[in-house]
Amino acid sequence: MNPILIVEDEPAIANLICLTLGQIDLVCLQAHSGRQAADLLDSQSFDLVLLDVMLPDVDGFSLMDYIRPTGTPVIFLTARTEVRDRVRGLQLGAYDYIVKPFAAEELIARVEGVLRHTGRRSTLLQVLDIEIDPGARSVKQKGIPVELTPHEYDLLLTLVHNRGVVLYRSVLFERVWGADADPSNRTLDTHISRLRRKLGWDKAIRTVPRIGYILEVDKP
Amino acid sequence: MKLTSKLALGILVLLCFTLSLGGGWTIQQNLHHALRRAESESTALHLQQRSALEQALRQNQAEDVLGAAAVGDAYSRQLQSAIAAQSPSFSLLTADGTVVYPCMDNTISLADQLAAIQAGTDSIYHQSGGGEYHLLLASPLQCQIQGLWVVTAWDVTALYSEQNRQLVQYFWLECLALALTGLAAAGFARLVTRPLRELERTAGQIAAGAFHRRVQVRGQDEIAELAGSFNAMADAIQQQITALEQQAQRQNRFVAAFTHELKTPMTSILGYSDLLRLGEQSPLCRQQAADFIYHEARRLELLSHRLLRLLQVQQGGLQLEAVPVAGIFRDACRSLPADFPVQVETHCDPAALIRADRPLLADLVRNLLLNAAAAGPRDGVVRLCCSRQHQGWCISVSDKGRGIPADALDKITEPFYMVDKSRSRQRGGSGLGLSLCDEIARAHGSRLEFESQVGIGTTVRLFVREAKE
Repeated sequence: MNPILIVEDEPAIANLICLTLGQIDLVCLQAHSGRQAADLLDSQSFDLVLLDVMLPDVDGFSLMDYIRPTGTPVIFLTARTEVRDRVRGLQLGAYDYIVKPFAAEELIARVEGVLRHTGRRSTLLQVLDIEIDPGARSVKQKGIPVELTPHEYDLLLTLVHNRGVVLYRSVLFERVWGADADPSNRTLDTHISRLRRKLGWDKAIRTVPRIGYILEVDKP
Repeated sequence: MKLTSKLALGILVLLCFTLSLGGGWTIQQNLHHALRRAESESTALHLQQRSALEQALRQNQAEDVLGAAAVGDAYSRQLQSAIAAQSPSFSLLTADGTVVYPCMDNTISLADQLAAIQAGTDSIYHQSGGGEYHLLLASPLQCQIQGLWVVTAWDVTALYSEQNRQLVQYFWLECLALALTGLAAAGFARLVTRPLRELERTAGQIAAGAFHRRVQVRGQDEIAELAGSFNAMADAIQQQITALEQQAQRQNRFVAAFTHELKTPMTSILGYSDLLRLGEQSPLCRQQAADFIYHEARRLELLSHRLLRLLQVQQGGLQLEAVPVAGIFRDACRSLPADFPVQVETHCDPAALIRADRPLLADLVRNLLLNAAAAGPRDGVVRLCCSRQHQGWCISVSDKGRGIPADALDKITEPFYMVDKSRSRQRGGSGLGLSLCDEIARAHGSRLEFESQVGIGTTVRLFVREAKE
C-alpha cells in the first residue's frame, strides 16, 4: 500500500488533511511546493495525489502534466469557485475536486470514492471484529453481514473514524442527524444501545457521563 | 433611395433639362430665321408678281371683273410655263370677298385670303392647315378696276418639316447623350461615395466588435476629413474599451486572489475548530489546532486591516498639503519595529517640501523600508534618499538585498502577489503591502518605479510634486 501525497503550500491545511485522512488509516506525505512534489513523485509511487492549484513555484495545473504519466489519480484542491477552473482541472485528468473550505466528511468521502473507483487499494475499514465497506455501506462481523439502519451506520462510521477520542454528544448527534435536528431527545442513546446490542460492543462503546461516547480500541 | 442613385439621377435630370431647353431654343431660332428669310424672299417675289399683273391689266385694258379674270388666267399660264412644274399660287379678289380669279392651293381657304387682305399690305399672314404651311401676302392692284387685290401664297412647309426633322434628330441625340452620361454619372457617383461605403462597412464591423478596424484616409476632401474624425473616434472607443477590459481583468484577478487569501485561513480555522468541537483530542493535537486557528485568524485580521486601508486610499479623501520630506522620513523611521534588523541611512535636503498626505506617505516609506530589510541586504543598510528631479522631488529606497526576478517586477504591485510566498508568509505578509503603496503613490499623482537585479539589489523610486510656498 502506497501513501497519499498532499501537495499544499499551507502547512496548516496539509496537516489538517493528514489528520483527517488518518481517521481512515491512510498514510500521508506532505509536499509544500511543486518542486518538492515532483521530487517525491520521482522517488516513490503514491495511491493518490491531493493537489493544490495555487502553488508558489509551479502552477498546480502544470504539475498535472508531470503526474499523468505515472497514472496516479489526482484530486485537486481549490479555493477558486469558478466553473472554468474546476472544469480545467477535470479536463487535465483529475478524478475529482474539493473546494476550500471543506468538511472532514467530504474529504474522506471523496478520497474513498476515488480510491474505490481506481481500484488502487481496498477501502475496507477493519475495526475490532468488524469490517466496514464504505462503498456498499455494509458491515460484516466475522464474515457475517450485520443489518444496520442508515442512522446506525452513520453513527458507527463516525465512531470508527474518531476511535479513541471522546466524542461530544451534540456534535455526534449533528453529524448523524444533521445540524437542524434537536439534540435534547434520547434518540442518540437509543441508537447507541442498539449498536451495542447488534455488534455485541457493550464494552467497546463506552459512555462518558455528561460528555458523550468513545469507541475504545487499541490503535495499532 | 441610395445616395449613389440620388447623385446620378440629379446629374441626369439637370442635364436633361439643360439639353432640352438649349436644343429646343436653338431649333426654334433656326426656324425663326428661316421664316424671316422666306418672308423677305416671298415679299420680293410678291412685289414682282404684283407689278407684272398690274402691267398686264394695263396692257389688256381690263375694265371689269371678267377682263381681270382673263388677265389672271393668262398670267397664270405664263407663270406656269416659266417655272414649269410648280403651279403658281395666287388669286385675284375684291376687298368684299368676290373671287375674281383663283389659282390657289386648295388647302388655303377663302377666309384665310380675306384675313391676309385684312392684315394689310405690309404684313405677312401665316396660314397653316392640312399639314402645310404658307405665307400669304396681299396687295391692292393699281388699275381701272377698283378694289382689286392680289393675294400670293408661298409654301414654307419644308421649313417646318425641317424643324421637325431637327427635333427628332436632336431627341435621339439627347437620348444617347443621357444614356452615356447616365452611365458616367453612375460611375462617378459610385466613385465619390466609395469612401462613404467603406466608412459604413467599417462602422458596421466596429459595431460588431472588431474594434481594431480603421478606415483608409485618401485625399483631403470632406469625406477624408470625416474618415479622419471617424478613425479618431474609433481610437478613443478602443482605448476606452481596452482600459475597461484591463480594469475588469484587474478586478477579476483581485477577486480570485482575494478569495484564495480568504479561503485558505478559513479552511484551516474551520477544519481545526471542527476537530476540537467533535471530541476530546489529545493535548498535542489540541495545542496544535489552537495554534493554527490563532495564527490563521491573525492572518485574516491583518488582511482585513490592509484591505480596509486600501479601500480608503482608493476612495480618496486624501489631504494633500505642503509637507517637509525630512518630516515624513522621521515619521517612517520612528514607526519601524524596535527589532528592525538593518540600519537606515537617510539623505535628505532639509528644504525639500512636497505636496502629500503626511501619514499615508510615511506609511508608504515604512512599507518600502520593511520590504528592503526583508530582502536581506548584505551590508545591513537600507538607503533612504530624497533628491531633486525636475519640478519635484524623487524619494528612493534602495538595498543591496537579494533583488526581484525580472518577470515578477510587473506583477509586484498587484494585490496578493508575492514573489516568494513561503518567505513572506513567515513574516506575516499579506501580499497587499506594495499594492497599498502603489495606491498611495497613485493618490499622489505618481507611480512606484522598481529597478532591481537578482543578487545585487533593489531601488524603488517615487516622484512627488513640489509644494509651492
